[in-house]
Amino acid sequence: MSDDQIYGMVRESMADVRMRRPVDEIVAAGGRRRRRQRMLAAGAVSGLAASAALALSLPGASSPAAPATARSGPAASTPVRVQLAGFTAGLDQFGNIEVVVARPELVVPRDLEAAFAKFGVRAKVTSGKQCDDPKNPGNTLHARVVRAAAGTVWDVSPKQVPPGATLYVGLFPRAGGYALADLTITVLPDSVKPVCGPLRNPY
Amino acid sequence: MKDAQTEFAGFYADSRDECMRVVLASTGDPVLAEELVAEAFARAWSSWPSVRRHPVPPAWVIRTALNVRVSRWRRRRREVEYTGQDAAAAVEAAGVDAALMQVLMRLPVRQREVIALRVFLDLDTERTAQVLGIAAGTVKVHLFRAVAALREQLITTHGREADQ
Repeated sequence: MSDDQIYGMVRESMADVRMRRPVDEIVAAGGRRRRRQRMLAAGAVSGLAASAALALSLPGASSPAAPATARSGPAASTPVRVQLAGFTAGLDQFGNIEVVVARPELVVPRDLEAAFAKFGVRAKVTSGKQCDDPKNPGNTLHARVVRAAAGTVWDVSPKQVPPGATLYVGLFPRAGGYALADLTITVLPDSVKPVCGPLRNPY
Repeated sequence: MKDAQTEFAGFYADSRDECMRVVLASTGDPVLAEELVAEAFARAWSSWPSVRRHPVPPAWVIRTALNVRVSRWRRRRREVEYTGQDAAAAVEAAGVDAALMQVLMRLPVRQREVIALRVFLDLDTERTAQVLGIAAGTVKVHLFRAVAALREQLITTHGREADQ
């Protein structure tokens, strides 16, 4: 059996193999990637905004002035987008932080906290726990939660989390994503000590 | 931009199946291979001005797909366990001769990649070495061993079939 015969058999064995993805899908994915690269490149240039966002994510950077600076940073200069295995986060056209959860089982609370920090919002994310102020249930925040092809989408306006306050997000994942009742979002002033426990007040 | 897109669409139509076959020979998993090739072509489109000047653009795509596989594997180690599917059924559904695929998958991955690049893209030793990031001499050794192993396996398989 010659080398060419062996090559021919290998070639023949995969003659029916086809790449089935339509070119439109490839072009769309490539376009998204290109835009992301441009954003990252632009983000690298605006070092000041990046430094402000980084400062916010460091422990002890919770002075009242710091969040305000970071808040105006990314929104005003470069669009930041966080893309991880479980979720993506970015600013929508209205300046809201839009979170798209594609794979709930892969969402790590700490990653989500870091994503919010990039948008100048201090957040505390818990899985299976709801954090709020039992003395003042009016502190809860309503978020828009919709289900889309990309996953479960919800958004929060940075303006709803003023300086000196923390956004508390409780995740209650179940198969297929987060339904409206599986998500709690609360904003509490830092002067309030939150109580975290089982799901009580879903939004 | 429209011209570039038309050019890329032509490139995709001409080379997507061959790229898919090479990556499939490397991974043995049609679903994964399609994901990797799609990702690599998307990256090719996002860098099309430079990729179109590459001497062998499909080789660029394949190298990218194989690199994506390595980085995904590294990331996946920290993620949840991937629930795989019935590999043999998926291979047959993808239009592959399952018996020959089985023989191919007994080879070490580098040997599979070398022979797939030779068979499907007709790459010479130097170009194969560039795609895989290994020395030309190593490519020759891998190819020699791959062909020898395939010959032995195929003769054995055919012999058994003839006996039956």
